[in-house]
Order: sequence, then structure tokens, then C-alpha cells
Amino acid sequence: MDIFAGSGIWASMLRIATPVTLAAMGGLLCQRAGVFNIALEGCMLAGAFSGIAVVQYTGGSVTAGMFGAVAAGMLLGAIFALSVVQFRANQIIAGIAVNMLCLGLTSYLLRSLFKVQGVIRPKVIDKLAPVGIGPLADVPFLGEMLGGQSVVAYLAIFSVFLVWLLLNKTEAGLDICAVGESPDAARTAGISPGAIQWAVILACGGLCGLAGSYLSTAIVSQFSENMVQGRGFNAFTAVVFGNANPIATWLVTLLFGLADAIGIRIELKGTGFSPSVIKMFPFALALAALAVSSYVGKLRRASAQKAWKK
Amino acid sequence: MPEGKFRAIANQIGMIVSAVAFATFFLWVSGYDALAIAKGLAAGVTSDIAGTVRWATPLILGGLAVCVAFKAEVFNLGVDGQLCMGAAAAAAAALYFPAHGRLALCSAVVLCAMAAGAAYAMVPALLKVFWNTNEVVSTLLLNFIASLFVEYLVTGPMKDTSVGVNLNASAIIPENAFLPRLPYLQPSAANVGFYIALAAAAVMACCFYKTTLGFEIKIVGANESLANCGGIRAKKTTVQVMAISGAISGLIGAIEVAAIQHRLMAGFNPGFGFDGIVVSLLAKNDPIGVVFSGAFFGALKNGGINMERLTDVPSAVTEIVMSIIIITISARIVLPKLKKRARSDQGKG
Repeated sequence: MDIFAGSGIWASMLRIATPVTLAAMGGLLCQRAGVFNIALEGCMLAGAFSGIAVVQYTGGSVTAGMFGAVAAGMLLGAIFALSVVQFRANQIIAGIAVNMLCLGLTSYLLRSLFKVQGVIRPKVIDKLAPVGIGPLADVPFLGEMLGGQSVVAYLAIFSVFLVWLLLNKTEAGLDICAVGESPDAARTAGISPGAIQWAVILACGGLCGLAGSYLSTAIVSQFSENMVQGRGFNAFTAVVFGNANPIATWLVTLLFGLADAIGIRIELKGTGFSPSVIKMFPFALALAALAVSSYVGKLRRASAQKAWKK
Repeated sequence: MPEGKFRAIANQIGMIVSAVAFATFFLWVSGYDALAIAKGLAAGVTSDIAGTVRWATPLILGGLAVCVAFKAEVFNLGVDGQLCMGAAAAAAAALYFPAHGRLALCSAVVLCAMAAGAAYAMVPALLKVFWNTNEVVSTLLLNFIASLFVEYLVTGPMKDTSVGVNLNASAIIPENAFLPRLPYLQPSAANVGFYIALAAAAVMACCFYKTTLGFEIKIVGANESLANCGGIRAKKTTVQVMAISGAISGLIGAIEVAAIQHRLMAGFNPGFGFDGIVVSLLAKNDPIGVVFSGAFFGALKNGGINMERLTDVPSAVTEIVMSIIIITISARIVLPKLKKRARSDQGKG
């Protein structure tokens, strides 16, 4: 993990959080439209693989790789949407199926297309150049955090505000929330729940694909089997903890990123902690976040009921 | 009723055939031996039945662990984590338990593993019951924690430090803790766990169809509010179901450690929990059905492994077959049409 050495902890926080933020925004849209999408993980893996695959075929173009990854993510989103929306499959089971399909398909294609097992590392890879931030670089905290980030990190932040605008300021956002709250009422109001759910699942697939390709082409420059390692589930947890609010969810993904960055620091310093224990940290944090948010939700519901009875 | 049952089985077989056909097409497109899956399956039920038994054991148990939870609509996706904890407890019991007799040691291994699996399943179960935490996400997160915990054990406190061993694994457990392998299926790793799996399936079938608990599980799964109105404490049933599911998962860990690997290894679990979901869904969450679907997936998995060893076909193709099967099962594309036809046939008659 020498790639992180020499850059500030805030910069690594943002870098690690970027893919989780992108995936979480996709998951958030689905959550708002009443789709329980745990296929985030699989879509990210598919994106990570196709990103590297396209880079390999085009002789190093990361931009093409990212477009390929978005397409792959949307394709898997389409499979998920087809079974969930069209054929009314159980969302949890369809999500598991998509995750399993991605795991199998990426290792299969790795062997059949590139004749390698486990890991592929393209020889040529034109990494995205860091975006210049001009005078901001001299601002103490922001300069440290934003300096040297690739364009995808900005895209992730941009996606947060885009999702916020979409949900809060547009009619389409209202439609999405209506479908999530009550599909029947939405249908009565002339909204097609199926179309809305298709749209959010496809958007989510695209965002996860981009997130995966950022992971493989920008952070490590290689694809290895099952490389997403639970980041999709962490993104999902961030949505739950952030109560499906874009800004809150984004902050939670940053918190997870910070936890990860601190873990890497500790590991590099070699304080005697086992690396496996440090790797547990983000998952334990996510679990705690999940438990607390459900507890708070329960308290809130209870007090609302009390107020109703008065 | 028999006709309905026949139709249901025919339906599942149709799904398997279409999934295998799809994957065969896939192999053909990518230039491999198109018949590899068929050959692998054929070998799995003829010349290499021992390998099938070895893989069917954890798959049947995984299917049972999933099916008891799914029946009550509790989505325990944490079988993988619970079996990791079971394996860790089994290895610890085998290495550190003070008794040395064969019976004492073997039963300590199995019981500790089951207790550890059940205890680990209590975390999501109690969070769900008391705080309303969604068990799907919590069990998924706990899977990662458990597999990292095993990694920690075998790189740290339990690492085999004897000379010449450079593995992320614990020391080999004492021979008295080995669960016996089946002598007539030597030299494969097929072991007595297969009988345990069959017995567990039989017990669970009795429990489902003949006991109060089975009835309660079914009602809670069908309609939780109805269950509460009818005097069934749905929360208690949820906890019970998770405990059973976790104990069975722990048993898989014990069998993998004490009968197959004979040590605790990092990354020993190839994902039996998620495979168990496929096994259980194909059997429509029926314990007896789980035995058959577990045997089928055992043959498939064994065939895939042989395929990779003998030819260059990647064994990942078995995962593709599995995922296609779950997508088709969950999507229920075939069944409603058949139902409609049956209804219209009756109308005509």
C-alpha cells in the first residue's frame, strides 16, 4: 500500500471514500425508490473488471475504461431490474444472484480472455492526471485534501449535490420518493413505478460501475478476483446510517474512508497490531453505525406513536 | 397433490437444464470444450462419486442452515461468518481441550463449533429483535469480520510455529480429534459428515412438519403479525431460528476443520454460505429437497474442480450456473405460466 505514503491523511480519506460515495449515491436512489439493492457489490466488481479489461484492449486509455465500466455496471443493473421489476423477484435474493454472477463471471472472463488467474495488471495504463486546483492549493486544510485528486473524486462530490438537487428540487425526484413511499398512490397519480425503478437501478449500476473502475484503474492499477472486498456493502450501510439523505450519507462514507485511512497508517507504522484486526475496523464501524441508526429509528417511531395517541 | 409435486420437481429440473444449457453455450462461445459441464457432472455421479460426497456434505448443511432461517423469512446471509467462527472454535477445542480420549475430543470439537456458530448468529438476531436492525446487512458485515478473525488467529495466536511450516494456518490438530473419513470412499476426503448432514436433514424435516416449533416457524414466515395475534412470539421464534441456523453453520466449520483440512487455515471457506442459499432456494426451502439439491450442487462443484484440473475450463463456470439458477428461481418466470395453463386446462375440463 505504498501508494498512500507521502500524502496527507485527509487526501487518502477522500481517495478511499470516493468509490464508496459513488456507490452509495446509487444505492440511495434505489432506497428512495423502494428498491433494496445489495447488488452494489457485484456491480462494482463488474465495473472494476471491465475498467481494466477496456484499458488492456485500448492500450491504456483509462477514460475509455471508465465508460466501459459504466456500461458494464448498467448491464448488470439491467439484469437486476429485469428480475426485480419485471418478474417481481425477491430483491434480496436477486441481489445475491447478481453478486454471485459478477464474482463468477469476472474470474471466468479473466481466465478466458486474458489467460491469467487471480490478477491482471495492464502494462500500459495512462492514469488520469490529477486535477489542478489553482489558488486553492495554498488553503491549509482544503489544499491538502483536494490536491492531487483525480477527476473522479470531484465527480463523486458532484454526484452528491446532483442527487440532492434531483431529490429535493425536481419533479423527477418527487416521483422517485413517491414510488418509494407508496407505489399504488404513485400509480394513481399517473407515475409509472416500474419505469422509475428501472431508471434508478440503471443509474445505480452506472455509478457502481464507475466506482469499481476508479478502484481498479485509479487506486491500484490492476484487477484481482473479488477486489471490491465489501465496499459495496459498506456503501449500503452508509445509506442506511445516513437515513437515505444525500449529504448525511456522503459524510458517512467520508467517515468510513477516514477509518480506512487511519487503519492503513497504523499498519504502515507497524505498531504491532495484526493487519487483519485493523482491516476489521471499517466493518465493525459500519456494523455499529447500522445498529445505532436502527435503534434511533426505533426510538423515533416510538415517540411518533406516542404523539399520535395524545 | 402428487401431480402438483411432480410438476414442481419437473419445474426445478427444467431450470437446472436451462442454466446448464446457457453455461454450455457460454463455454462454446469462449472456445472451450462445450460439453465440459456435462462431462464433469457425469464423472461426478460415476467414477468420482467420492468427491461429490465430499462437496455435498457442506452444501447440504449450508442449505439446511439457510432453509430454516428463510422459512421464517429471516434472511441469514451470515452462514459464512458463522461457519468461520465454528471452524475457529473447532480448531481451538481440538488443540487446547484437556481431555485426550477420542470420543471426548470429537464431541468437544463438534459441540464447541456449534455453540460458537450459534453464539455468533445471536449478534444479528438480538440486534434485529431488540433494535430492529436489518439482518441482511448486519450478517453480511459480520461475514467479513469473522473471516478476518480467522485470518488473525492463524497469523497470530494460533499460527503453526513448527520448523519448515510457512502457512497461514494453525498447527495440525491431534489425531484423536479427526472426524473419521469413509473407508470405502478412500482416498477422497468424503467423511462421516455426510451422514451427519443426512441425519440433520431428517431431524429438520420432522421438526418442520411434526412439531410446534416447525409450525411456528412457518406461520412467522408466512405472516408475522398473524403469528403475534395467534399467540406466537415471533421475536422468540426469530432468535430460535437464528440459533439453529448458526449451530448448523458451526457444524460445517467443524467438519471442514476436523475431517478435511485437519487444521484451521486462512481462507478455507470457498463460500459455502452463499452456495447454501442456492441449494435451499432450488429445494424451495424444504429440508428433504435440500438433500437432493445439495447432492446436485456437490456433483456440479466437484465436476467444476475436476474440469479445471484436467482441462483449462475455469471452475468459476459453476458459480455462473448457480447464479443463473437463482435468478431464474427468484424471477419465477416459468411457474406462473404453468399455473395459468393448469388453471385454463381445468376450466376446459
